[in-house]
Amino acid sequence: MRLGQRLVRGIVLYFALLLVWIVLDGTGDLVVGGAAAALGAWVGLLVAPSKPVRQRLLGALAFAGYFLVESFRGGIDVAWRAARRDLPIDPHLIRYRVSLPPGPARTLLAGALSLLPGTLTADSDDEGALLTIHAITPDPVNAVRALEARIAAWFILPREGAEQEGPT
Amino acid sequence: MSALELAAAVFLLAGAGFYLAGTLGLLRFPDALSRLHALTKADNVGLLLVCIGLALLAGSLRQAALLLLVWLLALLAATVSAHVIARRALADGAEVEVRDGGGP
Repeated sequence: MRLGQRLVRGIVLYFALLLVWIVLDGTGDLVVGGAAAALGAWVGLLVAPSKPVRQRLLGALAFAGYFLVESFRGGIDVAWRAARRDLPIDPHLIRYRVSLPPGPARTLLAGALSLLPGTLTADSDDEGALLTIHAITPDPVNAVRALEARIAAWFILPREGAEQEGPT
Repeated sequence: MSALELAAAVFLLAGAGFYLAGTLGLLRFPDALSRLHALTKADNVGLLLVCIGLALLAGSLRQAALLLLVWLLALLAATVSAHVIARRALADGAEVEVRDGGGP
């Protein structure tokens, strides 16, 4: 990562952490909060991947809206299934070959899957390339692909990663 | 009761309803992995609704932002803990049918 990029990322991280501090603790002890945010930003830069992942703001907003709607669908769906007398669930596992490249996009996929209707990330290999997904609805693959597409619309992903061994 | 308080009460009750549904799923679903579905998804929506209800009654923007932060952190904890429990259940030999799903 170039020095300028690191600086920008550090500053963004610093103000994000400072905002969290203010939300948690108010503006009474800003000296401590500022020091803690600086320490956090420094550690954050130390552990950050060397190649920054670029993002699209519109894609992020679209994802947030999609995630919110799907969360509600997931909650309503599972509530309905739990309340029905005949308990209409169809528990099974599928193995899913991820088409997103390694990094935050894959982490987000594995995390968000568990909160969306019908699917739960039960296991993955070390690279997050092959997910074991537990589903309670009959055909979960299309929903997983849709989530992948939403994530791909958020992150600007390297081309070679997008083409590697996709599920189709 | 003001309109705001009424709206807050509706959100709080709806949130409690989702918690109830999640608990119902926890009790009724047949195995550990299926139960995780009920807990993660229903509780996620339940907490969001409770947080919205409380945010409507919050005295300041900071309190409302704090509730949003609570939800986001609980979301993170829910998905990570569900993943860890599911992995353990599989490692312990949970019997689940494996189907073809677009992977090897």
